[in-house]
Amino acid sequence: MDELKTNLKKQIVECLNLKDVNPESIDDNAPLFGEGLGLDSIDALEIVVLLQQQYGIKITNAEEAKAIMQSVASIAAYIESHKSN
Amino acid sequence: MDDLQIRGYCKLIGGKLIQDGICLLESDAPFAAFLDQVVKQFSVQHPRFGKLDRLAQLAYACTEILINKLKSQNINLTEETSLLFMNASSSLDTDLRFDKSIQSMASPSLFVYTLPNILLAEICIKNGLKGENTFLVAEKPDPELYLLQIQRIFRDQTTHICIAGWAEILDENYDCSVFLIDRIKAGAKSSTPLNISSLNKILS
Repeated sequence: MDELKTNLKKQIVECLNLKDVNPESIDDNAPLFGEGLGLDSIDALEIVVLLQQQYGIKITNAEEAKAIMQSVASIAAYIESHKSN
Repeated sequence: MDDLQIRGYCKLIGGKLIQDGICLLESDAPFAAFLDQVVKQFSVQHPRFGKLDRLAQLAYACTEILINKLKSQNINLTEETSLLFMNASSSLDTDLRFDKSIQSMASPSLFVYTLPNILLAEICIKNGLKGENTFLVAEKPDPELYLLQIQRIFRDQTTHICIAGWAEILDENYDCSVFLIDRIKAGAKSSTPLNISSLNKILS
């Protein structure tokens, strides 16, 4: 799980071109949107694409996406549960 | 029609940053590295500069450098400031990248930049501008077209300042010129009145 979170942080920084953000500085439970990393709706779409490309996960429900993408930890938990399904 | 004047200009072209005719930076670096250098050296501020496409980055950086220079001369933008930008390739530089992304999965952040006028929004949001903004596509920088459009913009008496520019990029070829125009106060004289000759000097 820790490795997955580390990879996710690296992938998010790379995919969203967050030049000034060190992946290691991202708190597992910090909110990704609004406060925290301050991501926006276009970033959310990029993360949806990232999850589909890298982990084969399709998120189609906006409400569900909101809950999944709260933090790196919540994304990792969703990926793990998806793997076991 | 009031007389208009050009208050200053900034250019980013072929590894050079030129302000009011003076070359302030020269580099052999490719575009991305050159722009990084410009952003750092001239303290260009944007919460997510890396998120912008290359066309918006080019125009935004050039405009911010000009605005910062003019601020130091007490020339400040008002909410009613208008924008007029042109280029030849529209958003083709980003369109081609987006087209490439479609081969695997379309990139939402590239998609939002597949219109050239997004660069105007970036400048407006940063500076709180609510004036008219126009983006035209023309084969080359045409001083007569600029003159005509700028005069049209200033016919609206609420416009006191207009930022105009040419912002073109395709692969490693880029050429950006941004200049600020305002009204000449009654009784005052300007060293750079707005006319074909002064526009030619900036745009050539």
